[in-house]
Amino acid sequence: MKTWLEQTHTPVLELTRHFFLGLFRSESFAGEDSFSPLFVQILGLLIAASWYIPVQVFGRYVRINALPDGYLYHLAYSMDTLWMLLVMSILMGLVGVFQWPSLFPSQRDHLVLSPLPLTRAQIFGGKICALFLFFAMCIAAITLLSSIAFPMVSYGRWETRPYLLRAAALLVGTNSCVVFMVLAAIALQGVMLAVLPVRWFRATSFSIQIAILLLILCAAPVLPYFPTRELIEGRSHWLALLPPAWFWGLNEEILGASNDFIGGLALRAKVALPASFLLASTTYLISYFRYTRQAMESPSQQRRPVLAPAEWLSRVSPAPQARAVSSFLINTLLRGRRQKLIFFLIAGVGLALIIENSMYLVLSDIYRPRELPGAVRSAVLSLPLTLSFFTMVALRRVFRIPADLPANWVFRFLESRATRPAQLNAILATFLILGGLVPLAFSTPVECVVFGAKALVAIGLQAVFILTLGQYLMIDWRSIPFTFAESAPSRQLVHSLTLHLVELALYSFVGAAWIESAINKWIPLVALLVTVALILAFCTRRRTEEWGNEPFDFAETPAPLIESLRLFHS
Amino acid sequence: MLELKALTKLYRGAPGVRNVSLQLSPGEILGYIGPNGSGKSTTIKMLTGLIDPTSGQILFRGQDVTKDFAGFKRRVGYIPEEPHLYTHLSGLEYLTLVGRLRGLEARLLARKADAFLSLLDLYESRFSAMTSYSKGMRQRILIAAALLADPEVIILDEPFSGLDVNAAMLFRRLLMELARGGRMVLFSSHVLEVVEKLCSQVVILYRGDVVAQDSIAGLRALLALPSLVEVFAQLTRQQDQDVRAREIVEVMAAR
Repeated sequence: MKTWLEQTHTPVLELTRHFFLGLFRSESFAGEDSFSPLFVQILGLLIAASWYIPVQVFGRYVRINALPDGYLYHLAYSMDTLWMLLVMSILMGLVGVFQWPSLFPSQRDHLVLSPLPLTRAQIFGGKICALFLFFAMCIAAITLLSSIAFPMVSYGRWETRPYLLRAAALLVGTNSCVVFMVLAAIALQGVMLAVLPVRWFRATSFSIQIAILLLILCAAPVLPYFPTRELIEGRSHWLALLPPAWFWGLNEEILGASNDFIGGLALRAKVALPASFLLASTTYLISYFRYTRQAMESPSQQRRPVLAPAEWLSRVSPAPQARAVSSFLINTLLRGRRQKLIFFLIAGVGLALIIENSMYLVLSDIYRPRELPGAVRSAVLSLPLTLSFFTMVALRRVFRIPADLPANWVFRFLESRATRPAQLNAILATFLILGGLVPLAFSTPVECVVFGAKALVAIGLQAVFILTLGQYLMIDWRSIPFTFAESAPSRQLVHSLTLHLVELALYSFVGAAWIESAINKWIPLVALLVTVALILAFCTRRRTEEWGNEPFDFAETPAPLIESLRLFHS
Repeated sequence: MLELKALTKLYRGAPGVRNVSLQLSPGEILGYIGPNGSGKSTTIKMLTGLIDPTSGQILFRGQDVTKDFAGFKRRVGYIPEEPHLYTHLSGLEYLTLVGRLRGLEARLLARKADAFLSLLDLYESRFSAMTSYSKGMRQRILIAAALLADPEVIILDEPFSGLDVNAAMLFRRLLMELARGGRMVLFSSHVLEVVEKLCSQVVILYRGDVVAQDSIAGLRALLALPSLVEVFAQLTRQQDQDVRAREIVEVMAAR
């Protein structure tokens, strides 16, 4: 195998190898020149996530199988199957979102490969083979283990259907479902590619990628509350709108369920799968014939942009050097794909947490009707705090992702001690506006509806909280964002996550509870103001100590890190 | 006057450049030439503060620039060898960024940026992201950015790279005009014909050492050679290029 891999093969095989390895060279996470062995990491994560499902339900089935009636067993089996399909769809959706830019041959592929003695058919053939190989591996990692283990784990005295039938039905259901997800993603992008002009395609495609990512992140917290017993028992027609439910219907049909509801869902699955295949193939074919034009059509803009947020927002800084940094920061945030993707990934987790909280309030019976308004008030007060926490943490993370690192010479060349403090202040101001003010503005209408006139006090207090958190998060920040190489993280991931969880709990949950009592009583208000003022003063002092004395941190451009998967050479 | 005194840079003990000393007077265009890896870019990076010298001094008007490097750099316009630019910005945005970093007042900056973009044939593309710019367009943006704040010293590292014939001719005349106006120009290039036409003095660098420093006429007379190209080949001990060319063809044809 090793010798075979080292040899030169046909153009399609070589292109398959090139595109396949490219799928693991994630520009979203790694440096553009680095080659991370994401292969093992991705498959490991998917297998672990897939294995989690049977492990999670094992204890429950021991108890269910001990019940005197088999009805609940069959209901639980059905519900868990649908739940598995939803989880797998979300996992596959995540893989699809991160590989979104690689689903079709790109302009760069055209520019690099077309001058070589390769035909267009070979380029497309290599791309399709690589995608097939990649997604086959991901699908196997997601579906195989859990589809085999779940029927085994759930087995008990109420089960009359043979294991092989249940495993086969589940394999068909889960595999068809995730294959459908992949084909639907390709078809969606293919339709856009076929319909939109190139200058619109890139922006639209990226927006859709972000929208799908947010949708997936927001759907994740709903999962523990879904599917409800009522949905399955009541044969809710809402299920017909949910693609994973179609494949659940297919699974049920193979297991012998025969009613109109299940038949309808299964029929949708039987139509959707070939239809998505047909649409994906057709759009690939269209792209094949329009490839050269699509790749070479200029996406450049020749008109003055109607909206120039960087210009407007940078006006908060009076000094030209500070305005330069501020507008550079906003422009890079608006245009940097890696930066935007990571930002929405982290901010999306915050949004998911808020949705999870809301779902808990709506669906959980922990709050009695008399206690519900209090819980809603707390949730509304924590809304801007939670959102600002995640946006600020996301921004700080994103600031560390360099943009065109060698181009930072212009900042290094024109750096001066006199302008450094103003530039650092501009960075903080932009950070606070984007990470704090925007979430606060977003949640202001809800707060006004819930609290009336008292909302003004609450918003004022939240603004002070946001200012304090901003100062705290930027306490050691001494660089111009996007202009320095990422150094190895000073803390372990678990350490960082634990710290962030503590910060979130203190800032958002304790903070919201305190603000709630402060808007009603004087003593908590005074105590809160004094405490926050002290913390703010401490953080500001720490942040501005040695303020601008040390030069900005511009790490030398690191040598490209090449980590081989050993698919080329030993 | 800009003066380099025994400027040395060691990379992990290995010399990048050794004891480089030179002087650049107002109105002078000084050619700084040498083969690849001879240390030209290292010297320029030290001059522009991108790397620190291991030893030696840079004096501007008799003052050590390290006392106020930012003040020195305010007087310097620099065109780097590689067109490293923030390509997600448009040409206008990039010039605005540089102008602001140089502290130019908003209205003056807008006027200058527009004028530079028109004069360098970039006005039509001023709102396009520089990802769509050709190498020549990027080079012209770098030229505009270097000249935006009216520098006294202009440091050029391969400035003609990617420029078309017209733009190169314009830029050559521009350099002469700048020198006539009393600016100091340090001009590093591999295009020796241009160096010969433009520069009054040359410094030739070889493996980190200055091997010659004189006027071009002086060097030609000293070595009794007819052109700067031949002076350069002699001083930098170039192998017989014909032999090497033949060897390359042999390797190419190997079966």
